[in-house]
Amino acid sequence: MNQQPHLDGYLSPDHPLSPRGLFADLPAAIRPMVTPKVTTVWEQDTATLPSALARARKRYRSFAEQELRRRALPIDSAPHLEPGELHPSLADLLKSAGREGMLTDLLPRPLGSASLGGYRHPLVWTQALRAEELSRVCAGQMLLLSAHSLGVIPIVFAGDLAAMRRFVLPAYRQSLAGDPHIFAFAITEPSAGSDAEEGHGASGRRPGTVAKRVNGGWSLQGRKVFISGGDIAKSITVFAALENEGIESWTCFLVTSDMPGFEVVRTELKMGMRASAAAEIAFHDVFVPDDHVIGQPRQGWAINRATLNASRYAVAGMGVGLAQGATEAAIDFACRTELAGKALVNFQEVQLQIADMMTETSAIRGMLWQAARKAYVARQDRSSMCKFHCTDRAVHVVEMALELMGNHGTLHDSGVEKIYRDARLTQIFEGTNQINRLAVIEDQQEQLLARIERN
Amino acid sequence: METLLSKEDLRTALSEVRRFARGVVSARIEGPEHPLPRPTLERLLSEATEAGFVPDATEEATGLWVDLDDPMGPTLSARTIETLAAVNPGIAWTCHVRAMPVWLARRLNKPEALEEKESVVPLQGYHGLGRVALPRYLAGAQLEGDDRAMLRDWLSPAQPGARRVVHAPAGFKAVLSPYFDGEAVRWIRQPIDALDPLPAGPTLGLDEVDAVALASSDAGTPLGPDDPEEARKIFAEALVIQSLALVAVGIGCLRHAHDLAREQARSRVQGGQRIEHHPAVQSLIGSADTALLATDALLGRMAEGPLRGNRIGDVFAARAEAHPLLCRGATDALQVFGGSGYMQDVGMEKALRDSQQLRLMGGTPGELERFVSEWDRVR
Ligand SMILES: Cc1cc2nc3c(=O)[nH]c(=O)nc-3n(C[C@H](O)[C@H](O)[C@H](O)COP(=O)(O)OP(=O)(O)OC[C@H]3O[C@@H](n4cnc5c(N)ncnc54)[C@H](O)[C@@H]3O)c2cc1C
Repeated sequence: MNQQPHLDGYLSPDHPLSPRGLFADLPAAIRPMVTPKVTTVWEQDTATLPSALARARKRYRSFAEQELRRRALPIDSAPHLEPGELHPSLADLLKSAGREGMLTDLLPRPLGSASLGGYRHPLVWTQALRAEELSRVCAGQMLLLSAHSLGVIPIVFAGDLAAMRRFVLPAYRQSLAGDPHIFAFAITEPSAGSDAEEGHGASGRRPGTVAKRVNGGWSLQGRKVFISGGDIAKSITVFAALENEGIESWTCFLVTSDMPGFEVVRTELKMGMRASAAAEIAFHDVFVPDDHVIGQPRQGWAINRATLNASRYAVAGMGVGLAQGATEAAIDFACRTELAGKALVNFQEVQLQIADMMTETSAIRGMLWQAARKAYVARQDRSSMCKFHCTDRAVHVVEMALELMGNHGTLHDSGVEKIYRDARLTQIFEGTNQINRLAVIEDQQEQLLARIERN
Repeated sequence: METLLSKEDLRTALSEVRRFARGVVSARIEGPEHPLPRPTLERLLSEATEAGFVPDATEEATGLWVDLDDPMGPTLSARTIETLAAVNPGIAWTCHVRAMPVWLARRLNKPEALEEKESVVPLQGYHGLGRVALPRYLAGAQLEGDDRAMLRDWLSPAQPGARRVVHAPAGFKAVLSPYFDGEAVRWIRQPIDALDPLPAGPTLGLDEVDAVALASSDAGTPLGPDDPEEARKIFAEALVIQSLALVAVGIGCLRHAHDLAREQARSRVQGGQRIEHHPAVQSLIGSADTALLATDALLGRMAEGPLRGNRIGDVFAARAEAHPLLCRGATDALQVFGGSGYMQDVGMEKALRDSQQLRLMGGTPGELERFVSEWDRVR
């Protein structure tokens, strides 16, 4: 088929009034200022990144296209497996991810696999770029890989070099050798979800997972729920209160899945992000030796909050990636679907929808990159703003993509109904978007109080 | 036609439906994460037919979409569907799907259209709502430019690989298809084999219902009607009925989600108190509440009887308004559950998926709005 010379309602790019040739006769000094190169939004955005991050972004994209794309739909509709079982295709993914350095990129070489150049920039920015590129292709597999990083972050933020040497480095070496060693992060309890994410609720909460002092260490008793990757993790950073104390005594323990008394109770049947299991795990008097305390006893709440402040940027990145994936799927649909002999993209209403989706996605990416660019200190207000706004707008963009595709969007093969189911999670975890709004206010408290006094 | 149904009759009839839904239907549902097995669905449909909620091919059949000349008729049918949907949206939609061929055969005065017991009436065009061509046609305005090609392609797409999708339990034997013959939208009875049905895989929502992709074909028995004016009316009426069904299922679905959310807010303690006392949660439940109230009023307006195809502008406008509200209510109700709302066994994610699917079937809100604008312009 011959290429259409122009979309309906537009001049062709070589028309004298079209923006393309328009500036050719302007003075040579001005021309470069008004004549941008014809490039995709992705190329334009990547070009604004520092070179190390631009390289990282390209690497994440190519990893996602090569490894995640072909697995995305089959894994989403694969049968639910028993706890601890991993789909063979995902086992292969983890091996490749390990070898490619995708399980070890929280730390720079030679400890991990992140480039030293990238490490000059805030870690949360790199992690947000990674979450974006992986989520653009499959957010479920992204979560499988990212929940692992979330499990390692508490060890980094505890600043506990001994724990890094003892737990992280050997695990990283294993992963790089193609034998993935997965971590998970466990704060949520049956009776404390939001209360594990915000201080006001936590302050009055009777902890459900408790550590009792015993000879040479601690005995853990209790349950954690909805733990991403908790079923396949070999190491889990578990937050538990000390016996007879409140959440302010939270301590971070490194629990390994081979410790006697550790049990994976079940994995949930979820709406989306099905490549990653959400597990309920139980501790039946699990003995955890003293050297498995991460940081110091009672530092758990601080480590938890620091972890969340950092990881919420990545969740915002998931939102951006999901919005981008939905936008691309809708554009693809509009270009290949014909009605009355015309590709849908010729219709103005379709063009308006595409423009809205592209712009919304660009806007949330801009917000996130702007905040992450200088986030050497991961600020609570900024990370929460990005988390709730980027994910709320992302869901809206996915709804627009569904709307553009109409009835076709409801079909699994369209890919967009999966994106919708995946995207809905980003408004819930790492603190619901309501709790994240409250986190913005909590972080602004001093300024707000000062204004009350002034009034 | 004279009014046969009083308000009292309506109340009595709906309380019977409620009893059936809560007694018979709920008892068969193992949990929201387990879509009904096919034989159970079929048994329920037979029971609904025996109970008189879903009409069969017999002369004296009663149930959905039968008494539409009665001013209360559309309301009774729509509220029946809503009541069933509050227990299970997929079953409610299936009852509607089963009732449509009976309505159409009667309306066309072609009882032979129901020769095959299991047939469906696919009203879902290939993509969208036929753009401005459909309102122009239905309003009896002059068709212009590409309008004829648009209507033909929308109902019977000719391009390779293009298929219409039917959301109905698979296994139906015949399809009563609308097609545009250059003059009017008429109907044809097509054996399923002529349409090369392909399973279109799982869908976003309505887990109890399959998606089947149908090829276009001319093969079949024409069902008329001959009179182009009559054809216009019948097609508009079919679209009005479908709109009533889609919104009614959506309201039932939201009612269920709302009640679950209210219950959860009453029992869950976070932030030092029952979460129903947090303004954040009150806003979420309030959003579901207001969506219910508004869509209930919209459905009331849509279902004002007797059924008339020329009310399609109002009906589409109401539908365009209703679905975004229903989706907003469902997503906010889910949010009240936090993480457990994301889990299939709780039922909230199903309610949200179902609501989203209903928004996308039979024309999306944007398409409905553009229809309304053109309808308004040309009438
Ligand atoms: C798929 C999935 C993966 C997850 N992965 C992990 C993981 O890897 N590790 C982990 O530890 N956790 C994980 N979680 C848990 C997640 O972080 C929690 O679900 C989330 O924080 C919400 O807690 P909750 O589910 O208990 O909801 P609740 O806290 O019960 O919230 C219910 C509702 O009440 C509102 N609410 C609660 N408290 C307040 C308040 N003080 N003020 C106003 N409104 C309030 C909430 O906003 C929400 O609308 C995961 C969850 C899911 C669904």
